[in-house]
Formats: sequence, structure tokens, C-alpha cells
Amino acid sequence: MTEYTQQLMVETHGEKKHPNYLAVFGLLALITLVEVTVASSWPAVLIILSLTKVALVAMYYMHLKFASGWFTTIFLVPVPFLLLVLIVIVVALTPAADGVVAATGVCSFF
Amino acid sequence: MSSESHSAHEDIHLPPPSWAPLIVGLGTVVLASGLLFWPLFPIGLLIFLFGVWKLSNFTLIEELKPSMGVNSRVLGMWVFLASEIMFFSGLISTFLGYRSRTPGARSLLDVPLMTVGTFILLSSSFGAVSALSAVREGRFKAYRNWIIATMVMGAAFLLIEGLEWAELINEGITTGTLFGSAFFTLTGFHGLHVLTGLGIMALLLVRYYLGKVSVASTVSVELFGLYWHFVDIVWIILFTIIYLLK
Repeated sequence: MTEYTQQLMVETHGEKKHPNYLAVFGLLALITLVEVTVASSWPAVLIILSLTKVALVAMYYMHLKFASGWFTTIFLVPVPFLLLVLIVIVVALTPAADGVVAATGVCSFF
Repeated sequence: MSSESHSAHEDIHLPPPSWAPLIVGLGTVVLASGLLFWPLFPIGLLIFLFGVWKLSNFTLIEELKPSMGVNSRVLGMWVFLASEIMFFSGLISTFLGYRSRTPGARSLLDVPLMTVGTFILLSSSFGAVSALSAVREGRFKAYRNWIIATMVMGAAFLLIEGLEWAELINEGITTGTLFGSAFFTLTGFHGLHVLTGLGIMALLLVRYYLGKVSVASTVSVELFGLYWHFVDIVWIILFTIIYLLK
């Protein structure tokens, strides 16, 4: 039996127990219901609720809350790059950008 | 040999040679080629899953620990998931850029249908984590049942997504439109990830029926769980930006 597996068994059968997965599922379902029925008119609220769901799944189902901090770091490092890609591509694909591209001939592959 | 050099050699752990990584790589290339020439898709998928199967039997790798003191297989999965974040960022960005370019397309999206699909996928995440919990506690029949339930829910999600696709294509939203090409590429790749998850679950079931499941080796189930929850996280984001964000 490996050391990692032994550590998992201590967490299961020792003082620490796994989180209440059913409660987390209930919360996820409730947030989804709120998103679909009430929050769809407020984009900022929608985004916050979605990120809350992402955090719940990552922390409790993927056990980020209880695992090594290295995993959280690895998971969060791409986020700034994701935002950068989002901004650059969305701006480049707006109809206003089409005129700029046509006029300057820059980034013709867009 | 001196004791100093003997202890230095003890710290070096190299896995024995294996064809498994090469098989997974070959399967991935053939699978991707199948997007251009469809008969290659099932062939590539079979080669890929065979390579994953061989890798899952590579138990010696559990003894290998990188200097951060974490399980190397779990670390590898997290690094892979980080790369997947970048993969989906490009697709999501393109969809956000093109979503308003086809007039009337967004009004054709079936929000109630995909809300049901979202609940099903969330439930499947609960199923996956319950399967992990069961196998860690030695409840192997419960583990098998949860894996089967998760598979059924994953398949149901794909069916619902297929219905949505059919509805849109029927209304003339095809890959020939800017919205359609962005939408089908984004949801299509997510669907492929769900399909791959179904294949991995099938492998887990085969391992169960071959008696290869034990409390001592649950890392395979945890790795699948990480992958499946990530697929769920991606859908949480996609559902918001495609169906809810106005």
C-alpha cells in the first residue's frame, strides 16, 4: 500500500471525514435554480453565482480545500491567461474591429 | 560502494520502460484526425482507451513522488486540467465574440431543455464523488452502482445536447453561420470530453468486474473524478455564457 493511499485512508477512517457531498449538491442545485429563474436579468449576479458553483465543485468535489496547495496553485495559474485570451479575442472579433482589420490588413487570419 | 553513494542512488526512481504513453499519444493523433475523416474517430478512440488501460495498470508509478510530496499521477492530472482551461478559453472567447453575429440565433436556444441537462450533469458529479467515497470505504458494490449511475447521467446529458443540436440545425443554424460554427465547436468539444469520460467509466467498470478494485488503490477513481468534475465545471461556465447571459 502506498503512502498516499494510507494518507487517504486515515482521512476516511480517522478524525477527518469527507464533506457532506449531498449538501454541496443541494447548494449547487439551488444556485442553478436561482440563476435560471431570477438572476438571468443581472449579468454580474449570474457571473458571481457561476463562479460560486465552480468554487464549490473545485473545493469539495475535487477536494482542493483538503489537498496540497500545489493543486490550487496549478488550477489558478491559467486564470489570468484565460482572462487575457478572453479580452483579446472578444475585442478582435467585435464588428467594430472588422473595419480596423480591413483598413489596416493586420491579423488577416481573423 | 560507499554508504553516501548508495543513499544517493536510493533517491533516484525511474519507472520501467512502457509503451503506454506512446499508445495514448498515437490514439490521440488518430482520434483528432477522425474529426477530418470520421472512420478514424472510433479507431483512434479504441487505441486511446487501450493506452489509458495500460497506464492504469502501471501501479509502480504510485511509488514515485515528485519533490513537492504529492502523488505524481494526481499532479499530472491537475497539470492536464490546467492545460484544458487554456484550451477552452480560446473556444469560449470565440463564442463570446461571435454569439451576436447571426441575427435571431440566440432566441432559438432551448433554455429549459439545457437546464434539465445542467441538473443531470450536476447530479453526475455527485455520483462520481459518491463512487470515490464508496471505493475508499471498501463498499465496492455501491462504488459499481454509482459509476453506472454516473454513466447513465452522462449519456443522458449527451442525448439532451443532441436534441438541442437537432433543434438548432432544423432552424437553419448550422456551422455555416458564425454563431453556429462557434456554438457547435464549443459544445461539441465539451461533448467529446463527456464522451471520453463515459469511456473511462467503462474502463473502471471492466476493472471492477476483473476484481482489480481495492481500498489500497483508489487513485484511478480519484483521477477520473477530477476529470469528470472539471467537465462539469466547464459546463457550468458554458451554460451561463451560452444560455443565461443576455
